[in-house]
Amino acid sequence: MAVLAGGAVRRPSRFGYWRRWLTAYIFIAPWLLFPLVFIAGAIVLAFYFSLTNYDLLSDPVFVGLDNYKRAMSDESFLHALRNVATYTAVVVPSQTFIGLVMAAILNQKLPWRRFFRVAWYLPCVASSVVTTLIFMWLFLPDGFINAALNFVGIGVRINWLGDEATALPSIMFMNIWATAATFMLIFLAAMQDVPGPIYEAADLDGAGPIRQFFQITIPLMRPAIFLVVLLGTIGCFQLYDQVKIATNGGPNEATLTVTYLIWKEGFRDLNMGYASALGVILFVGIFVVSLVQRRFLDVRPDY
Amino acid sequence: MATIARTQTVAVEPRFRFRISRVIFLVLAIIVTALALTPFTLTVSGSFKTKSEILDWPPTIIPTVLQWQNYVEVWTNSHYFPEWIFNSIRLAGFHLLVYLAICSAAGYAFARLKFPGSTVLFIAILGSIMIPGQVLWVPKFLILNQLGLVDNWLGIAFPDLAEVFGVFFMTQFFKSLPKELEEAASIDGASVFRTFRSIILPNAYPALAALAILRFQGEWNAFQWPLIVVRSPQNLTLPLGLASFQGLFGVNWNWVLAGAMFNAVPIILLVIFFQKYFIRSAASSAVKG
Repeated sequence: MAVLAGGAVRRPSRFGYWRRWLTAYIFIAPWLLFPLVFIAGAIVLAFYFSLTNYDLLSDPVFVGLDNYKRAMSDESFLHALRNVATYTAVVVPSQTFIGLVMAAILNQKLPWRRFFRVAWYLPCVASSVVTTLIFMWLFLPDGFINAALNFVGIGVRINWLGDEATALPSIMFMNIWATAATFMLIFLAAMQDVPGPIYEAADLDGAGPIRQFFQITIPLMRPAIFLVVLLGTIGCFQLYDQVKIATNGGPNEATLTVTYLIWKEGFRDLNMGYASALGVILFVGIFVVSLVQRRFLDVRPDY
Repeated sequence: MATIARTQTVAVEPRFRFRISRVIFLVLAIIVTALALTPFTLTVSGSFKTKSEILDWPPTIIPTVLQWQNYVEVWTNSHYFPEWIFNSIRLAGFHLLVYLAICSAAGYAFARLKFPGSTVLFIAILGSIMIPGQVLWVPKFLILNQLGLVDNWLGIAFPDLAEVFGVFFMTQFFKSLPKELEEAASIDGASVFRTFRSIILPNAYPALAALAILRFQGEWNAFQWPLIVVRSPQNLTLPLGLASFQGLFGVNWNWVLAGAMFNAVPIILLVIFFQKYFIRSAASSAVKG
């Protein structure tokens, strides 16, 4: 295998190994530079700054675990945690279920199937800014959501995003709309991987399509369901764009999230140390939740 | 006899059920399509309404007058709209050129060139996918502050090159290429670099196209990181500009919607024309944002 430039075939030598390693590092280095600085370096700095008070103007002051203690008694942070928990508890099951139903529909050999797939996927490719702006407009008191409700006989003029009671549910709705199709694609790929002969055998045994779906498709898709629940949960924990654009965490902290609080503390109020600590807490939270989910949702397909 | 009777029931019964379920599924599919597309269609119609019609109650579905001027006014009345579009194109263009080059090189090294530390490094890369982007906001900003790149488009562009998905994606792709390709080339005396450039890369076009489309979408739509880096209005990217729009002219929803079309239409066209690449890369990357 020691085939080197110039066409000469030589015995593996020390020089040859070095040369090969060097080549590999030359291939990797231009890319590696960026994650080394902006991921590895940044993580170290995030932990360091989380132990300091730093406002960009004066030097960072080491304060130990004070920022973490402060978070535990910060009303806004606890409120944000409650909001994120509510949000996750509603959005993850809904988008998983809707994604599964959408995939099951597309998996039928329907006419115009390719059109359906593209049309359903469009909400996922439009930018979060555009979908949020569209829904802010639809959710206006004079908007189409109220108009549609009036049309079916529910005479309301709700200020969806401006009312404490409806702001978070409105954001849930727009996010389920915007992300369900991504999860549909994962489910669809998994459904198409289920071997055909299993269904043929079930047909012979007299199992109908509904029974086949619940007793063959779903059990075989457990890895995909785990993936969707995990990714969905991580996404929910990171809810930010819609809140930043549409509500700024309001009204009265009704849509405040952890990520919004990180932005507010770090970049509006210049509490870089406290913002770093909130970030580290978010990271640990996501890590723990994914471990727990791994335990409860068996990843292996259930044959 | 028994066998014949059984085949008959099997053949008749499912066909009947099949037809009914097909109609139900088709109806469901049409409902989902309506739910997915209605917000977009209403946006298109809203972007052509006059300033007063867009405030009407109940809202009209089709505008009474087609106000084409909205598209001109959004371009001229907001001070920096052309700059925002230029900034977005520059960001996405730079990212695609540099990111595809460095990712394909690194992916090739991980797939084919054995070197000490490659396994550990690869696992570290996979693990870093678990880190939520918001954790790194503060330290990344402080690093850029040191480099003097705050409020500079390179301050958006450089950290985005650290995205690890592309390397993972290209590594998997290069592993799937037959080894005979390179073996033939190296017997002919080509260097690793030459083999990579003239044998490997031309075979990687489908993977590069899929990655390019996915990353174009990511950069063209990017919101969170640019929002932290950019300060002055002329340096905003299009999504940031649109978001600021709504604060600037909160009432002029016809302009906001017309502006939104400039961001959404390129992506939507891309999906329609490159469906296959989109679906494939999206399913394998399994979501971002």
